[in-house]
Amino acid sequence: MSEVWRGTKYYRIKVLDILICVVILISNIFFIRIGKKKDLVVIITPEGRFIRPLESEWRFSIDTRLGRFTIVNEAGTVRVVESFCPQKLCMKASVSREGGMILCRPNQIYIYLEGDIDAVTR
Amino acid sequence: MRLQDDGIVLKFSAAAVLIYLGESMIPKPFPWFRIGLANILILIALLRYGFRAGISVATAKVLVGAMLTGSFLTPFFFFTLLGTFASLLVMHLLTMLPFSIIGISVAGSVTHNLVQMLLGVFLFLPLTSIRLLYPILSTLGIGTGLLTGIIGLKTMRLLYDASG
Repeated sequence: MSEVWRGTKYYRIKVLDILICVVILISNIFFIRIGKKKDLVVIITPEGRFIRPLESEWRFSIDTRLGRFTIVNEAGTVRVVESFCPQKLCMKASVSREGGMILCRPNQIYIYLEGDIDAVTR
Repeated sequence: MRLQDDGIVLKFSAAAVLIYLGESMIPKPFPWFRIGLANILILIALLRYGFRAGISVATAKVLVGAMLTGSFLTPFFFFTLLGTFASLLVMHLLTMLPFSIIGISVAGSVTHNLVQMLLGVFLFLPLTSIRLLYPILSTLGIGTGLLTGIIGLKTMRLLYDASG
């Protein structure tokens, strides 16, 4: 009789089965949490290095040798709104979660994203 | 594993290789993604005939399957080897606890994926890629583990209860 019924004790679903699925799913959330590091916008100017978060909205102004230089962050996209450089190439660029950088040679300003955007996903 | 099980274990091994080959013919979204249907045979052999039977079926699946698909001793082969035996070991340890076939299958499937991920990270992937890979691989592992567990349960019922 025991010949026939070998292994049958594994038929019935037990509490531990559900528990192991739940534990693995919860460990997922933990890993996703770790992944959500804040991305930082780094602004390099002749006066030094400034760091602002990418998530919140802000406005940043600095006086360069050409005049006032202003960038704003609107909904996670950083753009130049005011610059007195001749060609205004920097105003065509933007920095967002998808990447990108702003480089203004006449103002000597370089804006890029630093943080935890994954090298694999890019 | 008893002596009279030998023939059955051989049949299981042959079936596992066959299913492995059949599964590699199914078109998949990614080359590394497989449901692991051959693991059903390993699972049943392990649960019904013991750890040594499980090792036999797993070895047959890995070695003969790799030789027939032409991946023997390629880098991919070592991923399969390590994943299969790690999951076998975990499944064997879980048989000692009050788990059912479903939970054992899920644990084995997730272990299979995670061990391969760790090997990949150890060999060539950047460490930060774990963050992205872990949730994907463990969730896929739960899915395929549930599937193979349910099929395994039905198969066990069909094989042993009807004749029982």
